[in-house]
Amino acid sequence: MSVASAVAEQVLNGLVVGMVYVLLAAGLSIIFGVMDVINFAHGELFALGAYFAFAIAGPLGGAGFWVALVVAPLLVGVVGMGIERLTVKRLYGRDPLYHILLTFGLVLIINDLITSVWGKSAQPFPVPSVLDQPVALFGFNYSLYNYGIIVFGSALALGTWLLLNRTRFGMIIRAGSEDREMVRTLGINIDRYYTLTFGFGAALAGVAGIVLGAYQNVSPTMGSSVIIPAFVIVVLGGLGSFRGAVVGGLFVGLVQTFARTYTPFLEGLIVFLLMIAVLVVKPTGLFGTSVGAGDHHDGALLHGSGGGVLSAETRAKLGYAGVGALLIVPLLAEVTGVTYSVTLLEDILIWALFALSLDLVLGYAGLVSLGHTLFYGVGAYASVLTLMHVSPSVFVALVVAVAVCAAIAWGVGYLSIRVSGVFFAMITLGFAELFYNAVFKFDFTGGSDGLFGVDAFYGLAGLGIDPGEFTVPLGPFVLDGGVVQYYFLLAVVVGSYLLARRLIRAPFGSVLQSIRESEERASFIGYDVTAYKRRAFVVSGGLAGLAGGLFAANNGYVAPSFLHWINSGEVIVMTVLGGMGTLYGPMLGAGVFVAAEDVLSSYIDQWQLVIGVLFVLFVIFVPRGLVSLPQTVADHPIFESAVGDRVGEQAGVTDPEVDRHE
Amino acid sequence: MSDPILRTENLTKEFGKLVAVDDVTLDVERGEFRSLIGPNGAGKTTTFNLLTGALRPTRGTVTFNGENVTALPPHERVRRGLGRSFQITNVFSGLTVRENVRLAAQAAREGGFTPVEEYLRRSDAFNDVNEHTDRVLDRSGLLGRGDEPADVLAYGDKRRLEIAIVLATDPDMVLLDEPTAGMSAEETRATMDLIDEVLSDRTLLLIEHDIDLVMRVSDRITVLHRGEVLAEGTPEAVSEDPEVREAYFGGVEA
Amino acid sequence: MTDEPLLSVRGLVSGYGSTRVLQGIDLDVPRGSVVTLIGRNGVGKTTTLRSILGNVPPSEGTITFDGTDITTLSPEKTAREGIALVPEERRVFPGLTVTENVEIGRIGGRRDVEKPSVDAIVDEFENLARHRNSRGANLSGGEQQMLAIARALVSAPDLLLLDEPTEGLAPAIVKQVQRKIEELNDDGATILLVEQNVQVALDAADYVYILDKGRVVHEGPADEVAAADEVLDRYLGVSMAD
Repeated sequence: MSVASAVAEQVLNGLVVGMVYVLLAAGLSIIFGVMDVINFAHGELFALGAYFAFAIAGPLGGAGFWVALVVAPLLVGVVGMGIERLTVKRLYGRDPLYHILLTFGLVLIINDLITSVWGKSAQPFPVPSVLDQPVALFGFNYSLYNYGIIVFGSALALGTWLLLNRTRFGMIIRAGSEDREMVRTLGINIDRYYTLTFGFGAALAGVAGIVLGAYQNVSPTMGSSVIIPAFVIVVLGGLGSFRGAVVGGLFVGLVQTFARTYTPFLEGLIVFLLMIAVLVVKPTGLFGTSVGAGDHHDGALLHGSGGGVLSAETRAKLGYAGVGALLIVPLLAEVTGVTYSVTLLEDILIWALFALSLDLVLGYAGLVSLGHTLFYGVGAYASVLTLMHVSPSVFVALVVAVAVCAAIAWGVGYLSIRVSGVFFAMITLGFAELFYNAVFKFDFTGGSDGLFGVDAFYGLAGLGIDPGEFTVPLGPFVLDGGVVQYYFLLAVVVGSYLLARRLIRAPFGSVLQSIRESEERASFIGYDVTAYKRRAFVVSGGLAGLAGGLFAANNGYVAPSFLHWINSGEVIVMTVLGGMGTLYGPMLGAGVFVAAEDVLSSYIDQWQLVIGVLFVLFVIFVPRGLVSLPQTVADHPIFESAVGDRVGEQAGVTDPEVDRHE
Repeated sequence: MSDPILRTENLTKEFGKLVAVDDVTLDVERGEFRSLIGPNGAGKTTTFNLLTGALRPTRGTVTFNGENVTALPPHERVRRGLGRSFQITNVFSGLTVRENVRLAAQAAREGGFTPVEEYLRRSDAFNDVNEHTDRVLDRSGLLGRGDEPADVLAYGDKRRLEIAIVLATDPDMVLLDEPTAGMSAEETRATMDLIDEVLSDRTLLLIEHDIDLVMRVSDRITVLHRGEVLAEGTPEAVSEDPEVREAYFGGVEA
Repeated sequence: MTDEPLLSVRGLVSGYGSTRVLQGIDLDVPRGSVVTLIGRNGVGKTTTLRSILGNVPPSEGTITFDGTDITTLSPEKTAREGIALVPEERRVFPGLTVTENVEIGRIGGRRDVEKPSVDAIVDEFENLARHRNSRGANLSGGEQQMLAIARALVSAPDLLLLDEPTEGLAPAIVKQVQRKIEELNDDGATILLVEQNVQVALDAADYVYILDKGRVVHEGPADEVAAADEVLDRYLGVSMAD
């Protein structure tokens, strides 16, 4: 085959993948443009399309594929409309963060439903035999199905463009994305169009899922593997821009395909590098017009109520009691033989520290870091690499982990904090994915296996404890090195909490709180708001690195999964679950989340489903988190008379319309 | 004799094809009470934003205290002594009155903070900042209310706090953005009295469209019309200027 | 045809959150008349319009339109009753063309009336007819104002609410807007106008309400109000006999 035809084949392959991305990104982008919703569940709707088609086509035989191609997207569209009606609709007017959280919960639910119906393993979804043959065009053979994808995808994209630009429906959608209140004032029920738009976007994702499912196979992970590239495309092209989704989708498809063939090292990296480069140069993306155009008010982030009905003393006592209980657990575990509880607690402590670190940016600086696992993972790698190559001391390893992460946070913050909101979220996600893909590429990071079998020495310059050789006989029981690790971890986590509390109570923290209250005012009393946010991000990155470093040092390994975006999602869930903007809330949230996950997963197979449902309910009904529960209960009419003298009112959500009045 | 604290030269701001502020050259003398007036759409708000640093001019310069501040962001201008108040009261409503003022006093602290102080000492442990805070609270009549959350203050007290925050940044000059917008006659009087009481020793630049008010309080008035300076002078001179009467009073004379 | 006013507001109390912007407003808009609301910034003029439309739900009082109680109707339903708004700052859809802006207006409004065609409405406005395919964002302020009026008119409303239609416009364009309001009224349109330019307000109106601090503090036929110097001075800070 000549060079020209080899290149041509690559172009075609790129266009095939690109078309799938176009369909995915178009739906995502329309949904964001019209409703400001960042739909993390879009990837699962994509997978759902593939599975519906798989289920429909199988029994029908020959013509089944064609029936499925029509029916499955419609079903996904109906699912999408149901999701909008039942969940998303309730959150309009809140900060986009809540949509991210909600749809993250939906990811867990849909994904678990898929695995429980169709199983965990990938299944072949054959292309209809008519299409499954090569055709000779331009001097070489190429699959008819692939040509079909390109033609079909182009037709759908064109159809979508026509729908948006040449129909009454499209006109109302475009007008609604610019000024929804005005559309209402004209007499048009925009809510109905929102539902239809969500359904339409979901159906497009469904089509993309079928197309790709038949190109490769169907598997429960197909959603999570496309969602991040789809976001990259939407951000790269410009949020809410259809043209951006088309150009970005094809471009990413081509770039990925060419990179795979010609620069395998850059495969998986280049897309994120491109996104970061584009955003640094043009924060609105290639075809984006302006940040927060139209009437997109960002609703307020809802913080956990600081004091609530529990006084500071009560909370301090509870805190001491908690730490006290944590101190005696290893002894109890030894006595009762339930050693597994120590492992669970270690897990909780690590996540509590990770959630605490996120809360410093999310709850105090108001920055939604969607890629926080970047620091957790890098901290873990830095810690293990230091232990392997520099020093066996856990102290040295942790110092390196914190320093490396703080430095990376400074760099990422420098590039991204001046562009606010959604773009910050996307850039952090992009960096996290960049590092996630990078650790597979290098030998020194152990590739896809990670690094194993590292021993840490709990001391410095020979003075200290080696957990491998540590034993203390205690009556009939023996305390081993695991106990050292546990207490070390507990001390670091409690110490970090105290440090964070210090920071928050110092002038630095009071400025962060003022920024949270009113960024504009803070800047007009003389504070460099961007610099403060960046510093908070550096501190946060350092603490997240400490969490990752601790886990890696204690367990003696690190793997690429430490950098997987699902961790970033989970830590946000914990933070909001507990109540962001309070330091103890997120730690509590981590405890509840990890414990619930542990308990549920040992009793039921569909534990993700249960967690997802609980979480969706939580985001809708208890957005201020667990720490606000006593207050919410006290505010309930039944109890109100009993708690008559509560101080002040819970900081209310300000009506976003209030600043519009004359 | 001329000692302008704030000077703009050929200040111009274009939004696409629209020229919102067109070649405005302005000198505000140290210690004076200057007002900038004009009908809606005259470019008052844009000019205000160019002075505070919220917007960058398309052309021209802003000089404050002899220093070219055209390229400086808002917080740098505040640190150099150019404060501002807000039209819609903009206080940190989740914090107490004292914390509101202390944050501003902290920002204006002589010599700033060492890293240890900034990150590790309690923010209420700095005596000089606390004293400054108390002085400002005292002067603005809020000393007894320091521990109340800002969001439970009555409207008038919120305005008081608004001014107190400005004062705590220790400005040489304060830009006032329609401080009496939406107020009744009595509230307007009370607010202007408060400004007079608390900020009288600073240079003031008032952005306003209420002519009566401006005539009463200003030393000098600059009239903007369609982005340009139409007239400048004492209240008497301005009110008698035929061009001003035509453009601003909209030919209201019967 | 009855003598009942087309729009009748009684004891309207409304606001945002705990702030009560309107403290009990009574006003009537008779069929075929131009009624204006004047007052300083922030006295509740726009909030009155927003409450009539349903954007700010009233906490007390009633709003009756053409014999129907519309107090609690949502904005979309109010518009379907035949009330169209030309909002403050015009709010044309910046990414839609002139034609599309008018088309979307035609989708709204009453369902049971015959509406003029988009072309017919655009042709009535000389400076819009020249820019049919321009996007809203690329029009001048005056053109945007005309487009906002056209977008409202195409729904064939029974009542037109105009919120500060001359704000920020050059004097020559203000004259054009004024002429348009007169023309509409000559054709029998009923108009409720909120206006800060006192001269425009008094010229256009049949009847005037002066608002202060969320209440009607003075009302009367336009010529009487124009002569009531002391009132104008007190509530608006202008004097007609200056």
